[in-house]
Amino acid sequence: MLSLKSGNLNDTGRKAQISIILSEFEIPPIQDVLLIGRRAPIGTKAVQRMIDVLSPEQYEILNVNEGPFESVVIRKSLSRLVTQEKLLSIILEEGHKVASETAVLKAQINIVLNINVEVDL
Amino acid sequence: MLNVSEVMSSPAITVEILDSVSKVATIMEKYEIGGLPVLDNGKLCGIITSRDVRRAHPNRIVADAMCKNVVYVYINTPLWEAKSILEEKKLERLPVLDKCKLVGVVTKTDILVEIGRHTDPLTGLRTGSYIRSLAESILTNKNQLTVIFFDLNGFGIINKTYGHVYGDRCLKIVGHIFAENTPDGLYFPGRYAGDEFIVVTTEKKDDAGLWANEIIKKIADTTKKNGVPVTVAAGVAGGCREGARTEPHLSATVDDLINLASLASTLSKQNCEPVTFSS
Repeated sequence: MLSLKSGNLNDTGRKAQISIILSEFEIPPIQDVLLIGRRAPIGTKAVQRMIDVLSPEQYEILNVNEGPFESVVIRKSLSRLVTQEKLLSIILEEGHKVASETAVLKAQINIVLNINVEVDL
Repeated sequence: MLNVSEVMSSPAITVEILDSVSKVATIMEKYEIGGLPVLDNGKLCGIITSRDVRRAHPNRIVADAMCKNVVYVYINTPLWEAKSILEEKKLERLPVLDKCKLVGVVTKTDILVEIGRHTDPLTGLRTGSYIRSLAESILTNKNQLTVIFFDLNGFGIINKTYGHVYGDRCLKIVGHIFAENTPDGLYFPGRYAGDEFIVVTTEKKDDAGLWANEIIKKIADTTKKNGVPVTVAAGVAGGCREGARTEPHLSATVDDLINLASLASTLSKQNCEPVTFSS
């Protein structure tokens, strides 16, 4: 973070304080999952256009018929580890607990596969 | 035939798919419109109504607030058909297309006002002038045209004997019978004047005569059940065209056919026959 105080620029007049926060813009900005509320400020078509431009072919949009969310955007690579149906039901269940129709939630999903294989010696 | 092109608002005020909902609200308020067609690269892709605007966040783009299953009509859609679509789908307005291009919007009010001008208030049938213009359009399309003229027998006596309120009730019953017994797209009934009714059809005269006989029987049966039986004399003219031909004076031809059918109905009355064909 870079901070600049402008106190000495004008001794007698009104003063302004400028604060600048620089951070890296996340590409893609929506991480792993985005839950779009039915009355959210941004809708599915707008998100679709955003991801088509920013992260083409990396996300999939699933429309939801019931509940507070109109759609869920999921990173395609996640679906290779866990089936889409299972992932969607878990995300929606958790999302329902914290979100309303006006919300847009982004979620980070970490999937760890534990594999134990027994072989004959 | 009256169609939506005659009453639609043109050109239509539209919005683009990437416009914001707040922009839509501003346009609706400015023009006092409750719904706007949505275009995507010049093509109709949806419609957004004031209800959609109320329910959506103003930051949204139109694509995320509009109704995608847009119901539309073509420029030559008859007014009565457009009215049925609006009622069936419970809509207030319909975008109007000419082939694939949006050329206007027609509202329920536009249609009802125009239909009201061509509807007989007592019987609910179309007016004689409307049926006349319909007959012209049948000829324009080089279709067969038969005119049937119905005249209620002794209706003046019914009015004088039982009163005009009873007479009006009879006319309503007759109008209802016509409305209920006209297969769509084949027979078009209207009230010509007083106790006279006119029907135009694309059927040949023999079929039209059979249909007229059936109607006359139904009128007699129904009015008998309701009090005093009303008998009707009918005349049939036209309906004997063999193949397409060009009509130089459509209006005069229609006038002639109506006149001939009217005279044939007078003959029916004189001869106590239900139906007479014009020679």
